[in-house]
Amino acid sequence: MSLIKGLRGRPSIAIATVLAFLVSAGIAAWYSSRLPAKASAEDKQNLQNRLRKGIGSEVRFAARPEQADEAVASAADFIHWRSGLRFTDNFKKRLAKAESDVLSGKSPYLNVSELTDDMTAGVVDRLATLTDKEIEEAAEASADANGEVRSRANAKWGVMGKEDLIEQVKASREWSRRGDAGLQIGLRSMIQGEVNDRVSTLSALLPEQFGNANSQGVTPTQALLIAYSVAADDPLTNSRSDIAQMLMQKRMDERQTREQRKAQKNVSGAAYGRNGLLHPSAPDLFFTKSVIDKLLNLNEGGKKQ
Amino acid sequence: MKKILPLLLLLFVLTLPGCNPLTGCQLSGYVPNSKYSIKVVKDGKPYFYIGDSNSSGTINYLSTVGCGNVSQVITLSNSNLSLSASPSSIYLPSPASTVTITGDLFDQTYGMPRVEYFDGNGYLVGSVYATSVSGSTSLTASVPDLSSAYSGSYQIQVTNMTYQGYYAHTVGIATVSAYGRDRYDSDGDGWYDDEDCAPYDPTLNSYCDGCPSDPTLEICP
Repeated sequence: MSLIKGLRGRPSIAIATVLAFLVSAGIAAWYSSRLPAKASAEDKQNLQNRLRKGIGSEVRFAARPEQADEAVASAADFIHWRSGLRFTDNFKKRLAKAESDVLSGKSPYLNVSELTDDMTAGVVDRLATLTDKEIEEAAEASADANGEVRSRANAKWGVMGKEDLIEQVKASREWSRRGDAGLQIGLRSMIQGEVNDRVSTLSALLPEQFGNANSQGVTPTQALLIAYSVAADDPLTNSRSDIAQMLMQKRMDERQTREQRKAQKNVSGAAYGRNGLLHPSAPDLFFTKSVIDKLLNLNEGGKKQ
Repeated sequence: MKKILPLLLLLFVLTLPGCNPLTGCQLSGYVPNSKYSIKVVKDGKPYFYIGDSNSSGTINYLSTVGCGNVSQVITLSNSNLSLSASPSSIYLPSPASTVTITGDLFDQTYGMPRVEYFDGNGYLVGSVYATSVSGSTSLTASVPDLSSAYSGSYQIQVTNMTYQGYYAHTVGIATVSAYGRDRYDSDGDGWYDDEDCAPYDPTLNSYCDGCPSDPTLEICP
């Protein structure tokens, strides 16, 4: 009983963690029971085609150190176009240096497990420093037209109202400030699932770019793309023209006018990110300098100790 | 005790309000391979979910408020026809007062078809209802207020009202071109005035974002 009482103060990130397993398992089972086995192969082929049209063709991954600048520039452009997130020139320079160091052998590739650890630590640290204003703006930016927030694009961890989200993130913030290990454990489990999902999908379907991700690790640019994909829940699929068509259809379905669009401040109008039309979220909250440095080991030039 | 902690946590959180997990729901006896909007009314509040029927006519959908309380199942359909508009071009300073759209499947049985104008980026410019329908192949509608519209390509979408009282049957789209009022960029920042939140301030672009001054943020929304 005392344990139950002790748990009453636990915030919702851990709640979502548990629900994640429950709900995603339930939904997965529900769907899988209805989909013919044939659909799986077709879906895989379809996903591969869409990935090739997206990250596969729009990001020019570097094979040699001298290609690092171009790789970073194309990754930055790819992310910006899809989410409105913009990289500063300083960040791009540091990222290109780290990319070059990895490709030249001066620094090791980033291990996927360590990437997960660093993302978890980054989220926990960031949670502790979030202001009320940031939380409220993030909730606003993450809500759809109905004022509901989907934990993931497919809502696999459930749906909640903006007020609920604000309340629960504030509770999580307090938990993070207390340094509670439960938050770290719960978050790591969620992030691990998301990172592994990306890495396994990309390595299987885009082997030319990500084939060695599990065995060798990833470059800083690849790590950033994975982190962005997790934070914004952007599947990295589809060409710009495909997405432009989807956005156009979405606006038509929602019967949005230009006046309504202009009334939205700090909104990119992109597919992902703040008020994203395909999946709204606030990934920029996560990408602070300290988080990015830790995530990509920029201070160490990509070196993991 | 550590081993049962997750279980206890699970039992505890399931009693908490707030995050609403999705529930997989089914409705049987509908037209196979169709799209539906399921209206659920709970505590006086309407919720709408989209679901597809399988080859057996069973609709699968995900609900945030459980599987009960379904008040209406609305059939959604899109015939996706290519329609024609006459005139096919619009002189914006002095547009025609009516437009005639030809095609098929226009239906005034439950209400006059809705005629909507969307610009090249999918933004709604104007919406009117047909004033007359001739057979099922032609309709006439007033041209909506286009005083804020600019030169470019526009799509005119026609939607029928169905027996359930919703505009749920999209018939198709006609494409027209408009001319005589070009877009302008008053502050020369590369964004047209109608998409620039500060059309006379070149330092602010389309969505007035601007990288925050916070030096710790290296990636800005």
